Amino acid sequence: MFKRLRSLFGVLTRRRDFEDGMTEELRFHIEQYADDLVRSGMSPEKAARHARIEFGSLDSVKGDCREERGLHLFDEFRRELSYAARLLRKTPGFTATALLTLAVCLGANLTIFAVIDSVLLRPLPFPEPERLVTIFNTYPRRNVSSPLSSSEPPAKRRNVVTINKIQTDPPFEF
Amino acid sequence: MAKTAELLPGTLDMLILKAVSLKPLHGYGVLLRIRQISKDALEIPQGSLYPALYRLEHKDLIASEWGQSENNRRAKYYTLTAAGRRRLRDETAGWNRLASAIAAALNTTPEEV
Repeated sequence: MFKRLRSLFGVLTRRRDFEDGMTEELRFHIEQYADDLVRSGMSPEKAARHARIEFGSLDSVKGDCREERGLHLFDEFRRELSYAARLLRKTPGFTATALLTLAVCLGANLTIFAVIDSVLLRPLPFPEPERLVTIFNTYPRRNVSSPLSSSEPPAKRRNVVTINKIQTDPPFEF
Repeated sequence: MAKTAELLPGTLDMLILKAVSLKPLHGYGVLLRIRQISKDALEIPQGSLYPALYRLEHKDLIASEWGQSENNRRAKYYTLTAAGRRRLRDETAGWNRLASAIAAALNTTPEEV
């Protein structure tokens, strides 16, 4: 399997060499056969014609050879691609709509994922994020509660079990 | 000229391996060699020779290299690889088993049954 892949890769990267080599090899065969026919007493013109006919269609033999190397799949793929490109060029309205739809969908997806990733998926940059709390100062008489600012230490601690550390500035940008 | 026999499917690869196992050969040489070692009984269809060579090379059973032909032309020569040698041995053994089994079956006389 690995060797076959390597053989296919080698042919694909040197496709020109492959085609030229195949043409030269088949031509050598036909000329060699014609020479043998001449040696057995046939006229050169007749021998050349006979050798070509008996070999059969060069193109179909070449096609079979390419197929044995697994090249026909790539050739077909290339043909399909160019056909698709031609079709798209012929219908610019459709192409624009399709591209726009794709672009908007991808963009929306990316945005939503980015938000979910930073809000829900990525852990907060603290050792035990599940123990994080925000501390508010509440003023019951005025019915106001406000988060502490850095200059304002918590006024009273009530019902608080333990607070290990107070971080005043957010360690990251919102 | 001797009567030529039709090639059974699958036997062309085996014959090509055998031909190049004797000596490195170019494609046309393979054709001549098979004709020679089968005493003119087997004729390879020219159109199917090269696809078979490319198939065997793709399977790494034979390897190819450009060289000089007898009349000083550039030609592609095929040699047997180690994997090809193993395959040829297996196929030869398998073929001999099959051939002798069929021969024994076909030569059975009524007295032997």
